[in-house]
Amino acid sequence: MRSKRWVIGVFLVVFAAGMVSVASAADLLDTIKKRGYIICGTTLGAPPFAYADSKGNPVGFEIDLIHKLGEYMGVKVKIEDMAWAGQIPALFTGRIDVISSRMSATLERATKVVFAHPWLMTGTFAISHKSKGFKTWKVLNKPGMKVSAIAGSIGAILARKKLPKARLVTYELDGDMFKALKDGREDGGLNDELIVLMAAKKYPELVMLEGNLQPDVYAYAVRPDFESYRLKNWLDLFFATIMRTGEYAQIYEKWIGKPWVPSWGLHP
Amino acid sequence: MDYDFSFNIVLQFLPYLLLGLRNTVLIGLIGVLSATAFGVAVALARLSWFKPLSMSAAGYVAFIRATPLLVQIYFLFYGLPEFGILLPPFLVAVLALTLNSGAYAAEIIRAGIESIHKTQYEAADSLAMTYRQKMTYVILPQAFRKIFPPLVGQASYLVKDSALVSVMGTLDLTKSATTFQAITFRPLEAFLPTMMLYLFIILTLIYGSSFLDRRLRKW
Amino acid sequence: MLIARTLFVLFFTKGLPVTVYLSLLGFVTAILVGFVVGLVRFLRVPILRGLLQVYVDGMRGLPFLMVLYFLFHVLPFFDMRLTAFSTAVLALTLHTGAYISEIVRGSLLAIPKTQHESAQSLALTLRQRLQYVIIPQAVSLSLPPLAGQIVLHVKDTSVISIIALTELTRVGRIQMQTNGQPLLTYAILAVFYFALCYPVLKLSIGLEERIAKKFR
Repeated sequence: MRSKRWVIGVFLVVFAAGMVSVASAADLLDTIKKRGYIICGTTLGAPPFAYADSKGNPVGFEIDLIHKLGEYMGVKVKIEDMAWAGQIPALFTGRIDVISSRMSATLERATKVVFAHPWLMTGTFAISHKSKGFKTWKVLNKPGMKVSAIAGSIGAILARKKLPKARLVTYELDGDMFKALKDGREDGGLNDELIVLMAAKKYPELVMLEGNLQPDVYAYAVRPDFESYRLKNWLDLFFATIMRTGEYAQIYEKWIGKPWVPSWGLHP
Repeated sequence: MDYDFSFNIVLQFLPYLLLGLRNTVLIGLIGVLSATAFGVAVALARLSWFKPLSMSAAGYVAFIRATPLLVQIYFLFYGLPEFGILLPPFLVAVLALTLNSGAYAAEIIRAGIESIHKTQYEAADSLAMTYRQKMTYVILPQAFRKIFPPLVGQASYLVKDSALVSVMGTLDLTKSATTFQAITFRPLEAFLPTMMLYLFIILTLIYGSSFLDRRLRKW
Repeated sequence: MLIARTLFVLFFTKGLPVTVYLSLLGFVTAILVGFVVGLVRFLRVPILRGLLQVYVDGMRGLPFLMVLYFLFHVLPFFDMRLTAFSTAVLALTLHTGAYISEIVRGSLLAIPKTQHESAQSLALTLRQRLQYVIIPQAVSLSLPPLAGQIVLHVKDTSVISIIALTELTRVGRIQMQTNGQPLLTYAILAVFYFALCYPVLKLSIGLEERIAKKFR
């Protein structure tokens, strides 16, 4: 009789443990699905990726991707606008579920966050006023030169690394940075390839300089914890899927103006 | 609490902090001096019998008091170049603070001047002083004793407001803290020393102002 | 001009409601905090008085931007995950509340001692003295500086644009990124703030004159 009770006891404990482990398997993806919305963080102010239209609504390449994500996941999307340098802290403090911006997936950042499937190839380029007559970004590495970049961006990091002799001024919004360059405040600025192209188009006084300081890719980022593991896998498959179905190419062409050519650099 | 405060990081922050402190103190000193000078000019314009002058001065003060400093800063920093005026951020900072604080200083100075009893003016006139002599030797010195303490108080507001010039990229105390925080992601090590410095400077000015107020009353 | 019209509409629909809501909510909570703190400091309650002195000095001695940054970046480490809006309201409440406590304390102190003495001679308790004699008189004294404080409070809401909360100033900044017209954008923005603040400013000056006449 004693042994039977003992067996039942063990069975109950194992059963309870099983219930507990099933209950604690609820992770971020489950939470998002139950909640009904996903909180995506980005920074508005950089056409063509994320900016506000004349009605004040967020629009852009990133925004369309985010909506596509919501569509596939079956949840609503909440777009949180924040300062660029605040994206990683916001991810860590749980203010946002995923960084869904034009963040470059660098090895340095990869020691802090977990990146998903890259979605665009890019690089850091310099831009300066035509009147200065500069040809490449290397001329900016001289004492007395002033360069600008967005606080916390890859441009700022590269400015400190590759243009150490120049003085760095950081801005919070891309539009402010380019307007200041147009005014002639700094000798040059560093930003992402397509953003620089757009700025050169918008302000004819500005010209993109030759030389890619560091080619890299944009990718979404999640927290490096167990809860975000399934979300990261989902994001990987999401990007691979839309690139295969042609939906990505649609969005790309809409915002970049050229047909999308898949490249090996986007393979994770 | 999931944070381990590291004093080492504060030491790393020190060079940025000192640079920011130097700039904030510089902006504060230059700002206070030019705001006071500008304030005297606006106050005199306000008190002038020339209606258009006094009305435009009044309108100017009302505009400054009813709009945020941040908007004034953005307007100057991004707007002046549209007129071809390109000033370095430091100068735009001093200009914005002068124009802003100067309006408040003008009100303080005006109240001080108006509080001078009519008999002082009459006595000066009976000595056949010109307007300029009357103001320089009789009225303004007395008014200054009354307005000096509140002006010191206004200086504390100027230093408080100077934190906003960080939006222009001027490396002041606030900007050095936010820049360091953006690189290292350690807000406590960056903000605590910064806040202590601000507290020291601003509270000294505030308490100095009430101290001066009590002392000068005995004059 | 089309840009001017879009700006006007945007400021009115996306910026103004948030600024007004932020200002009102922040000011109401600030009055609650300020009244309690001011009263406690006036009554010279031991221990609390010292702690609150530190609080008030801390807020008066710091730029609002620093208070905002501190709350925004540090609170999450203490497991307090507030939205940008809540952080803003908290910062406004704490900051403006400290100033209001000074106004409250000042107006309570301004009531002449004779009022306290006559109340005591009528055998009123402390609570009754405060409730029926002192506070009602102090309220009318505090109205002019409170009105002035509202203006400062509304202007502080523009600083909140720096933590990327969508209110009047933020709308202006974001729009300027794409329209590239700083003069027009910030001029119209200034007009909106002026329309909000000037009436209150005028009210404050008017109240000051009325109260001065009453106590002459």
